[in-house]
This record gives sequence, structure tokens and C-alpha cells, in this order.
Amino acid sequence: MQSGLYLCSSIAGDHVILQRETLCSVIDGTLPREHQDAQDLMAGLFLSTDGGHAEVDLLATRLRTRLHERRSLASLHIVVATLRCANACGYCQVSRVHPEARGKDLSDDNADRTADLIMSCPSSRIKVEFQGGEALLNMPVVQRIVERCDAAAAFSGKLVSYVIATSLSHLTDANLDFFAARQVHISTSLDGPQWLHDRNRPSPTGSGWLTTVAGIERCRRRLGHDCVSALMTTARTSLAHADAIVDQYQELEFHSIFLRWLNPFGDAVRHRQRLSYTALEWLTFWQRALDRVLSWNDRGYPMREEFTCLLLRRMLSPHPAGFVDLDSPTGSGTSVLVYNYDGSIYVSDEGRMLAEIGDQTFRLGHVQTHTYAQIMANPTLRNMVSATMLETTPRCDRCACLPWCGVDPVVNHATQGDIRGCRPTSDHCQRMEGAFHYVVGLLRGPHRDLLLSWAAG
Amino acid sequence: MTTHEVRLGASFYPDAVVIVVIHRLSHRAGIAPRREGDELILTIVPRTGHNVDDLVPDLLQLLSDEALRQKLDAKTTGIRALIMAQLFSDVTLTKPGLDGDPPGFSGSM
Repeated sequence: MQSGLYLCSSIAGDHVILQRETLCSVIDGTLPREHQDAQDLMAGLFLSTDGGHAEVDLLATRLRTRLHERRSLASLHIVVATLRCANACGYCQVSRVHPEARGKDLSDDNADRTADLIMSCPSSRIKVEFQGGEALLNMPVVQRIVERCDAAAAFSGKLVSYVIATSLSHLTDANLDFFAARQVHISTSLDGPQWLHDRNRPSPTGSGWLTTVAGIERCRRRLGHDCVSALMTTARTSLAHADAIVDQYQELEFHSIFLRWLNPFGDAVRHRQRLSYTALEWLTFWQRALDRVLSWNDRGYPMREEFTCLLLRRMLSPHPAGFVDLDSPTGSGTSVLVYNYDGSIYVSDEGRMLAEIGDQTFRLGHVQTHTYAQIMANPTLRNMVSATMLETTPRCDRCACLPWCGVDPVVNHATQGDIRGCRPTSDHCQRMEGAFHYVVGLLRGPHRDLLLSWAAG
Repeated sequence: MTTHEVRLGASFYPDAVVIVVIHRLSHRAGIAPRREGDELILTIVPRTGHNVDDLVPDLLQLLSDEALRQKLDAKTTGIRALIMAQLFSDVTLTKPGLDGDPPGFSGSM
């Protein structure tokens, strides 16, 4: 870390920050027990108190708990209801098509098989997320899948929750009635102030920002304030406006913001000269925006930054983050599956984004021809899992962030031509290491209690 | 092409340390190591956009850190192996008698 400080983590994910001199004393076995850091080191099981017997058992138990959590298979199922969408976002990662295009909707037949596959996975808690294109443009299929899953859940006892990702531009009262009846959560995109949002996400019907904000109000009135969440995508234009973006969320009475970076797929690649930025530039933006979120909390307005919450959950709890960038081995294909509009099944949203630009590497099968067991036995998926154990990855094996970090093999494949990837040239590595170090620093500061509450969920 | 040589005391930096650091800096420079007598000589070829004046302090810091890390690993590899073994074991490996089993690794390994 900076200023001669060293971040030290244990096999079970506990961490301490030490001066180099202290670290040398620990390694040499000369650190006095009365040293101010010795108590923390013993509490974190870095140093032994009784010859090591109890520590070995405790560390093995903690590690077993962390790994056990990774055994829950495919709890998130993303269904691409259609590729059609009226918006023309410059960074569209899914290669959307015109709203009048044909052959880009999920059919009834494939929808039924998709629902059956989802309900055949062994998880007792299942989340189904509808995406697009604009998912509301194929609402009959959304309804069909929800009803079929609910019917199966009533029989199996599984808990199924639903989220629909939408720009809210085609929202109807009938949609809202259905969402209310079936407890469907709304996730929308809001890039910040009106001028920024409309610049990033041009809409053919005028200001997309006005439509989205009006839609948020309608959803809140009908479904409840907390049934609508929003997330932003960082374009190059956004980098200089961290405060304004956070303030916009506060003004619209959101208590949460997810600061997302741009993934290297679809139009984001085609327009990269205009849109892209380095990992370091994104980190600077994220740190500034996170500081702004913290300052709103200082002023009495509760607000969380969701990426930071994911990092904290990985650092301070044994539970997986539920975010493919933070899973080791990869959560792509194992904790998430994507069912595309044509019935093809992919390991992750990024996998299907890559397919839209002609690379079918991460296609696992088709809803009409493959069972859940066959999907899980796919050689590509097995290869991905074995290649993404960070303990076996050069550089990761020696990184203090190892117990918390993860890797997305699809992004590695897209950016480096190899699912394992090369860490020194990896944007992901630079972004994650920088983010973890920043959060570790914040945990030593005045916002520690607040951040601990974020980790608790 | 600009190159730069760094000469260090060879005994402080075993091959494993040097290789890890060369990999770690591979996005900033190509680094070719050789040993001559008691010296470790690193020839640095910075990549486009990287400056050797910035590289050398980072290289020295990383070598020092990695040497420390190797020292730590030498002391903890055994205990890490024991923890991993305990992870997959049905019995308490450090005190096998507690479980009523004979000492040593159990059949679940």
C-alpha cells in the first residue's frame, strides 16, 4: 500500500495493516506480545497463542465456511426477453436492435423451456432477472415466465424473486398491476443529471431522463419506494461529474447508487475512442463519488454505494458477493446463467454480449436441447472453473486481496484472448486492487461503523 | 531503444524473487536478468510511455517486498498445508486423540 504500509490478509480473509518494521518483526518471530499490533494479529489468527492448534482448526473452519457458500449453484437466471430497444445508448453492450425488428424476441415455446430449466436448478432461492433490449417490449413473455415459475415454485417450495431491467419508457398501468401482483422489482438506468443521461442514452421521443424519472415516480407510487432501484454506467463524459451524479441520486431520493464501469462489449467497443477510459481514471472517479456518498451520510442522508457494499461483503463476511467479478472460481455459469432471446444459454451476461459480436465461446447450449445437468457438464464451463481459481493464477497467488477477489473469464477472453488472463496488463486487476486498498483505508477512518453496516446488508 | 542496467547483490535475490518481480512489471518494461559473480544484473527496456526513472525505484521496492514475502512463505508453507489438510479432514489433525482416531491423516484425504 502507500506510505510504507503493508496490507496482510489471512487464508480466511481477515486483514491487518502493518508498518514494514512490524511486518519484519512478525516474520522474524521477534514481535513482542505487548506490541500494539500483536493483539490484532492474534485476534485475526495471524499469530498463534497456544502453539497453533486452535488457530489451525479455526482457520480451516472459516475457510470451509467461505468455500461452502460457493456451492450454491445458479441462483441468478437472466432472461433476455427481446433485443429490441428504442434507445440508442452510445455504449450499448448488448447490441440492441430497432423496436420494429423481427426475430429478436424470446418465443413462447422457448420461454416455457426457459422457465422449466430455471426451476430445475438445485438452488432453493432463485432470482430471475429480465433484460433486453427493452424487456417491456416483450411483456407477454415476461408474464408467461413469471407465471410458470410461480406455479412450479408453489409445488417445489422454492423461493423465486423477480427483477426487470427497463428504461421505463414503455411502462403501462397494466405492467404495474402485474408487477404489484407478482412482487416484481424494477431496476432502471440513470446516468446522473438530465444533460448527462440524455447525452449517454439518446431517446427518439425526446428526453429519456424525463421519461425515466417520471417512470420511477409512477413505480414508487404503485409498488412502494424501495421496489425501484437505479444504476449508472460510467462513460468518459461522466468522469468529471462524480459529485453531480451522486447529488442527482440524492435529489431523486435514492438511498443507493451503483457506480458501474463500462464493459468491453458491443457498442462500447465500437465507440471506445469516444467512450472508454483507463482503470485508473475510473478508480479516481469512483473514489470521488464514494467520498460524496459518505459526505451525504455525514449530513444525515443515508446512502450506500453498491460496488463498495460488494467489496465490503467479500472482505468482512464469508458470503459470496453475487457479482461475477468477485467470485473465485468464477461465478459465470455456476452462480449465474443467461437465456438469450433465441433460446441459447450463456455463462453470463458478458458471455451473451460477446456472442452478439460474433464470438460464441461461452454458449453452453439451448433451452430446447439441454438439461440443467448437461449445461453444468459443459467442457467450456469446467475449463472456466478450473482456470479461475485465483490461488493458481500467477500474481494473484501472491496478492493480499486474494481471499476477497475474483475474476471474470469472459472479460479476460475478450480483452486478453485467454480466459485465465494476464494480471500485470489486466484492467480488472488494477481496478480491484485499487478499490480494495481504498476501502481498507476507509475502514481505518471515521466512516468505519457506517461501512460495517453496509457490509451487513 | 533506451536500456538501463541495475546491478544488485545477487545473494539477496534468489531466482524465484527475480522472476516474480519481472512478471509483475511486465506491463511497464521488459527486464532481462543475468548473474555475474556476486552481482545480479537486470537490463531494463521500458515499454512505450514508461520511464526508467520511475521504474527503477518501483523495481527495487518490489524486489525488497518479494524477498520478504519469500521469507514469510518459507516459514508458513507448512502451516498453510496443514490448514488445507484440516479443511478436508474429518478429524482434528493437530490433536487426533480428541476424535478417538489414530494419529495422522484420516481416510478422507
